[in-house]
Amino acid sequence: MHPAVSNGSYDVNRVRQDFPILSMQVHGKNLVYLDNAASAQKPNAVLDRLTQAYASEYANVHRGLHYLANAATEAYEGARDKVARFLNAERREEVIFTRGATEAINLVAQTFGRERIGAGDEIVLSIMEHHSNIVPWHFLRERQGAVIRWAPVDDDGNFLIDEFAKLLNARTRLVAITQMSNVLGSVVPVKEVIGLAHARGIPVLVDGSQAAVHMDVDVRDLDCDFYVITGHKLYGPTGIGALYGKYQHLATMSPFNGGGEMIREVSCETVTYGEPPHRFEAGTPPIVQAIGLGAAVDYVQSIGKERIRRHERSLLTYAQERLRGINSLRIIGTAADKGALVSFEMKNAHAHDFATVIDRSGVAVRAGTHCAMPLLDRFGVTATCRASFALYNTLEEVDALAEALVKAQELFS
Amino acid sequence: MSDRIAARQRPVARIVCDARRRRTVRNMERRFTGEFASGEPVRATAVIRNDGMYPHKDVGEPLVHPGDTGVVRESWRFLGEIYYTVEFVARSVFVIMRGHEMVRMGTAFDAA
Repeated sequence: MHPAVSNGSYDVNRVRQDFPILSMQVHGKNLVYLDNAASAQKPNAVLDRLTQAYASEYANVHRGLHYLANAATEAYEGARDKVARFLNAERREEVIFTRGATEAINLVAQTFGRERIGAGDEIVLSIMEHHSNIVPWHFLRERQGAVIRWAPVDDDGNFLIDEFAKLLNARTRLVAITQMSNVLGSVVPVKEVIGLAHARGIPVLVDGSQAAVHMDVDVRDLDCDFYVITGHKLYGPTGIGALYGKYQHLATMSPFNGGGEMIREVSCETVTYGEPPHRFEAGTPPIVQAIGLGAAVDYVQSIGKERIRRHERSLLTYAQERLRGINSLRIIGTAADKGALVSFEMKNAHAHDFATVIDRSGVAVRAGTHCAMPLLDRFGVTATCRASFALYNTLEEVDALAEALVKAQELFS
Repeated sequence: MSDRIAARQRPVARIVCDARRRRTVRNMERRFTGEFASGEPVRATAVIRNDGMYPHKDVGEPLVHPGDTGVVRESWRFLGEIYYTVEFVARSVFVIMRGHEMVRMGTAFDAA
């Protein structure tokens, strides 16, 4: 257990000591990092593990006959075990390391999807999807003639499950849906979604890029067919993500990329492929990044997601209260259940402009479309500013955000 | 939360009886809607410590003890989990509780 929570407390200042970047100054001001939904900062536990892996455990993995190759393989496969436990997968072979969530979704689209989805077949997405869970399906629309259908949200950003259910029909071949919107923070009741889809025999891919950072994930309880996570939002390194897939699906899927590691035999005339997960991990994998992801998972679990949730809920409640007090702001996304992020726009100012202004106060937020253009169209905006919170943020940082926005408001009014 | 949303979001609460007293642990899952409704009296079954958000006590100090009685003032969802704001009048605190940390008073699950 992490010392910051060992006595039942949540000592956020102790947690912050684990993140060296948080002590830096930006433009002469203390850094207030509120861009966590884009990418989270890294604790020493991860940074040290990366250094250790490169300094004393590094070689290429698998089939090695020397000490370092075996050490690297053990650490890499150990990371797979950690991710499998983190997701509560039934088998470690159900976890495939990828470069990130984007590659994981493309893998499913170009193997499982392409083999099962033809002209006129339908794929159901929510309007809240990130482009990484839209464009791979557009590929199937362009190349296979598939039809994409969109599950709506209401004006507060609540997912409308009754409307979703109406979209399912005999032509539906797949549901691909986020568990938590990266723009609105809205939580999608994916267990209900999966239940409805499975009742019609439709497989479901869940994009857990945001949700897995904050929510408990149990792929067996959800009964999802695929679940996707990315490492860099989970306090881990960039260049690493994971795809969970039910083994019965993975075992029948064709490879995604071709190369070393993923084959059983290659001859001049033919090739046969290895078993999952290696069938889907062509070439030298992101060895050290996977080891770093394992360390990140350990770190999050040492604090405990329940404690993190309670802390982030306090941040969200306070942030919404403070931002509602600023007249020129309009908060977009007030779903009944939403994660710790706030999207908003400012009267008379483009999101890019006031995000740049508050950066001078040391406050880092994201502005733009957040790779979710269909959703922004739905809400009739071209850009929003998004403050997203993590386990190391404080109420004082919420105050800093609000004060910086008040200053920006005066500038643009 | 609207009734429509509340009706759709049917959580599963795990109710754990006092293992030390009964020498056995009974885990039972029970689907419920409308339990721990606003105004309902409840009894805490776990120690709830100040995680740093309560300003009038030290971090780590207990706010609620097993057996303390309170009244549910609000329920809400966050990240798929259901939470309750419970007022413990005798201790003059409002505490955020989970369903498995309390029982309804006067029911078969109330061991006190």
